[in-house]
Amino acid sequence: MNAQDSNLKDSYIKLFNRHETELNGSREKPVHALRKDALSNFKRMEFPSTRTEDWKYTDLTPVLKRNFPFQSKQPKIRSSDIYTYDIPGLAENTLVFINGIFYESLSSIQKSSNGIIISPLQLLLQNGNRFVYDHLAKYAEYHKEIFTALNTAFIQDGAFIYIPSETRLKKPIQILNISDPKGMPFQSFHRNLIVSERGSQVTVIERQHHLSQGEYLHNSVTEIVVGDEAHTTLITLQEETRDSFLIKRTQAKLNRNSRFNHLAVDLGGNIVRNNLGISLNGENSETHLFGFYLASGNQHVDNHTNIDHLQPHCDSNELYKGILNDRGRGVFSGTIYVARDAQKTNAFQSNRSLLLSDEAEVDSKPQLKIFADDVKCTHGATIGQIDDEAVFYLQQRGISKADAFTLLRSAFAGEIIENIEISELREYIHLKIKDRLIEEF
Amino acid sequence: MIEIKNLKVSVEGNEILKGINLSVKAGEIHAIMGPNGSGKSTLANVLAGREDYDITEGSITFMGNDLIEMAPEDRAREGLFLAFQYPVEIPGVRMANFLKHAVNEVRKYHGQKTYDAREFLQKMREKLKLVEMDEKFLSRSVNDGFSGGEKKRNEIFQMAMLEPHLSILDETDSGLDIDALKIVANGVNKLRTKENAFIVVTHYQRLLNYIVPDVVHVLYQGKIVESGDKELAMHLEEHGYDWVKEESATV
Ligand SMILES: Nc1ncnc2c1ncn2[C@@H]1O[C@H](COP(=O)(O)OP(=O)(O)OP(=O)(O)O)[C@@H](O)[C@H]1O
Ligand SMILES: [Mg+2]
Repeated sequence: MNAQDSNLKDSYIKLFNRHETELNGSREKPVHALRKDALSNFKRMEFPSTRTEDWKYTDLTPVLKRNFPFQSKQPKIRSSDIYTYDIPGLAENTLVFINGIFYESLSSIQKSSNGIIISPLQLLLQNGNRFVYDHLAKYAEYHKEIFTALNTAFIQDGAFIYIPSETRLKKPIQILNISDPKGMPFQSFHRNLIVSERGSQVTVIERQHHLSQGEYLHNSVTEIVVGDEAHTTLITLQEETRDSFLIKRTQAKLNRNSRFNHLAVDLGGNIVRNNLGISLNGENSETHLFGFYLASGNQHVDNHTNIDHLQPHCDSNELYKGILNDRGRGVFSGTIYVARDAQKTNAFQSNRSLLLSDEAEVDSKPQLKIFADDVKCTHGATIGQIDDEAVFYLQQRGISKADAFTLLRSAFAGEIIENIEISELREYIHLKIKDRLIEEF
Repeated sequence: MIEIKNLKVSVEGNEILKGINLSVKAGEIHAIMGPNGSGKSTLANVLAGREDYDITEGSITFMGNDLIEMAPEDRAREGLFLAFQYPVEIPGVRMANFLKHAVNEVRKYHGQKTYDAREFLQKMREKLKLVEMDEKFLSRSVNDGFSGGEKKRNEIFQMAMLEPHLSILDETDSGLDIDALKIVANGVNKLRTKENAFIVVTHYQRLLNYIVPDVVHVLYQGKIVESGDKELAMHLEEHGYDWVKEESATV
């Protein structure tokens, strides 16, 4: 390990110890034991470099050398400040976090009697909520991954969502994360936990926007458990500053006959690393994973997925697409593991990129580890440009060349965005993408 | 409507059109026939404004404008329509969306007010009937996964939506079964007025039984070597192109 990395580790450890002395009473809480365990795991781990296989294409040096301070000030935000991010009619429940801190005054949570829990996580950690402790840190492996270990050791806040069995929510639940660095660097640790019990249904929308410019590091972990016959959808839209660093772990465990859909749209960030792990842990479960990103300037977006087929008759379906311009870089690394007993597995993976400049670059790395014999598994990666024939066809119908390009690029994104069933959200994301395409592509 | 004079066109240094003269007036239908590779599609594409061609000589006047100077989209907006020999598949762009965009662009160009969603849907339904296409096509991506025949009918549907002055149909009849052929021909006949004109590129006389041309031209090796009435098409159907080839060899 180099000196810089060990300095960084030391500073995290010192910070933890200082924190600990300030904790007083809450040192007795069970979360503290978890934190300490995570820290001791962190101590024996190393920060990745490009020599680390899983980080070959993503150089974290710019992140590691910055050693971001912890957020100390909480900016004053009124609801009129974040009004522009409102999508009318989208959600009945919205949890708002500013720089990782929960803002009750900006949030709206419906009172519910039938056992549904929608709450900031920190509150329940303090209350010792049973459901939280049953599931927290059971899926995202803090003993294997250094950023997850850090997130667990410094766990701040996030959303906790609990859907009791046979409960089907019609309206999505929204997590609105707003960054307001005002030019002051900081790091924050965000943690979500979504538990859907047997036969339940829920859609969660997590959005990340920014109010001011600046550099910061978001370390975020979301754990998801999908019960037997349950159906969970997670849609994320990320529009952080172009100087921000985003490291995310999303880890889902699927039980029998369950389904998990995930759709992630990344538009902002300087270095973005999304680690997505799915464990198909019950027979007949299925997962559909979609990702779309735009990378211009010097943006770097790395989608890293691991699908574990552990039981028979499970389906996984991955489609990741990106449009790159300038010196934008994209990485897709998708591992599909099929255990010996996971017969009748269907696994489909595809990564498609549109390169609009000579300097833009994409690395695509599929990895199949198959130990069962009755398996259908396909993967493919394509890198292309806009089809001139299609541009001419559109022009011949009266559409200007510039509009034709925009239309075709939006269409490329459309294949992902169309999977969003909620029309308000689909339109919103569509416009965000179109605006960016017109401005920078 | 359109006046083509001594048009010479090359691709990568090879001359493909070697001095075309063609004049089409409002209300007329001209058929262009000719063996494979003779330059029919090249002519159609040059008129529509495709980039890959070098126009080395000649002039094209369309409705009083110098066509060569115009961008493809402006040609379309001025009322020139090309039904492609090979319609392009555009995944992710829905038919309805695409057409609304196209039609409204043309209307804006002419200073007309754009259609709202309801008016537009009504218009699309009306025109779909003309080519006997199902409404479900509107929510599909442009030509994406359409059968050969569906693609061709879709071209006529778009033509009906855009109401052009001059329509160039490049082998719209190829690959159509007899019923689809009648539908396409019927569509053209219904859209035909005294004010508009058609250039129909085809290999088969059978289309011309339904769309009766005023003039038939034979394009061979980049030149119009014969022009005549519809009897010429019958003659070609019977005798093939050998006599044309021989004649042009002796000239
Ligand atoms: N973009 C191009 N690059 C190179 N050659 C071309 C190009 N376009 C046309 N040609 C050539 O020009 C000639 C005429 O082609 P064109 O497609 O116009 O023929 P056509 O009369 O439409 O034939 P068909 O009946 O087979 O459709 C052919 O030899 C073709 O290979
Ligand atoms: Mg042709």
